[in-house]
Amino acid sequence: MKILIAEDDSLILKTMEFCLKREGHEIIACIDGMEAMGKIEETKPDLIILDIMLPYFSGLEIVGKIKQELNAVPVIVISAMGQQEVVEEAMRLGADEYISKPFNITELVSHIARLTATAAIA
Amino acid sequence: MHNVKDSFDFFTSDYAFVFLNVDYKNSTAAFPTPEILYACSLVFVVVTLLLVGVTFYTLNKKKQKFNFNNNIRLGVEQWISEVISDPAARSVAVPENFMVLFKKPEARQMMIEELVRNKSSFLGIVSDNIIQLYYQLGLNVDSRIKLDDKQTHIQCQGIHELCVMEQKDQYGKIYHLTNSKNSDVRLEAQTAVIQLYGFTGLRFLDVVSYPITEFQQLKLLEMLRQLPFTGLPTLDSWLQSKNDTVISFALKLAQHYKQVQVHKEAAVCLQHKNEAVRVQAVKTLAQIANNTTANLLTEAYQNERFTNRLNILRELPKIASDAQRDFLIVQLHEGHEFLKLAAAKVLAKCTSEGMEILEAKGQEDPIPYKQIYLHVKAERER
Repeated sequence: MKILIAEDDSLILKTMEFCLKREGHEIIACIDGMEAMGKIEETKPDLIILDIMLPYFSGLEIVGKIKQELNAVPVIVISAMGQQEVVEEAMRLGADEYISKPFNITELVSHIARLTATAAIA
Repeated sequence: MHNVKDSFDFFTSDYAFVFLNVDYKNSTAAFPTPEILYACSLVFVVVTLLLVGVTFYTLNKKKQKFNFNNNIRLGVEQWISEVISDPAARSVAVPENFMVLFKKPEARQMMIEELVRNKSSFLGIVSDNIIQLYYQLGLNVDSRIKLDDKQTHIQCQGIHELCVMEQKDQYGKIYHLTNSKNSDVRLEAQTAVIQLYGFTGLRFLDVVSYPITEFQQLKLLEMLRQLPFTGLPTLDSWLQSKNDTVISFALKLAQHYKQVQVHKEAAVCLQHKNEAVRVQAVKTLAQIANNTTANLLTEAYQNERFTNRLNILRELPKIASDAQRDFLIVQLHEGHEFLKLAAAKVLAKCTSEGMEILEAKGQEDPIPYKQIYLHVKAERER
């Protein structure tokens, strides 16, 4: 499965990349919102994982845009703890799932599995 | 021909001083000679060049440091993420070049910062692997040494690192710093013991002699709110502390966690010399009330100033009954308009025939009681 991850902290991005690669996924890593926007159009990922706080384009802006253009692609947003309002806004814009930092990689993996299964049924 | 000498002659001539409105003949001021002006310009140029040089040197040093850190970061990041994301990682083989690198203090600090930042984002196996790596590289020793540093911001940094890395064996040292004379260190240490030990960490309230600020109290309460409640066995002794801010904080704990067993100790705080403690005691008692609380508050009311009188009247709606009717009627006739309105609200909410009493009072004495009656009525209908 082709997963695009957008996260501005390179160490967290790389850690997530390694963990999900171990699960057998193909990973497209993006360090900011602008790169993510470009790669989404270019690579057409099967699932997108977005940090809310990204440089250039925020996670919210990206969710709003991709849900207009590629409605079928599941999106998981990652927020810092205590950003409940922002998470609610992301869900309203069409995000399918959210995770708050600190998070367990197994939680992320199970979200991916569930969303993939739902997308396959649809 | 108009040359430089002419210009100079003009500035030293009588005409110039008339033009500049200066009485130079009677002036005692010494005018600089061209030589002095030249020397001053030279000094100015030298100082400017020195400043430019120092700025350039400092910026260059900073750039070198940034590049050094960035190069290490880029090199190490890949390795760290590979190690910490490995579910089977137990003991990690550190590459030879990194072993050399980690002998440099800057590189070790950079490594600590990377691990601390990453640790704050992950739970589970990744988090465990980060702690494992922190131990294996001996970075816990670096953090521990910081606790003894003379610079308080370094001490704070050390506390934060040990706390994020869950170094419970350092509890003794951190606990000692919860009563540091420096407020930043105290704040960091108090936060750390709560983060590491939850409600048990509140043990620092037994010994803290410096004030706990309102901000720190709110921060600690917010941290505790996210933890499972495990009890407050020594709450009664904190309510008798010599430190007024400990009493205030203990009262807030009693209020938030409804600690009815300390009702007696909280009631004693109504007589405390510090007004902030008395105000908090009223709020706490309203939350842990029994059938004596309303009378305790109305008795305390007589000795209070405006702020706490209003506070008592605002808390009474939670606990008052017909037994307080006479007290409230008296308050309708006395004091500030705010107190009258607050008393009217309690009367209307907690006593039978409260609204009728207010209505009758409004007819009998329309200013201000009719407005008070209409205000309370409108609020009740909302």
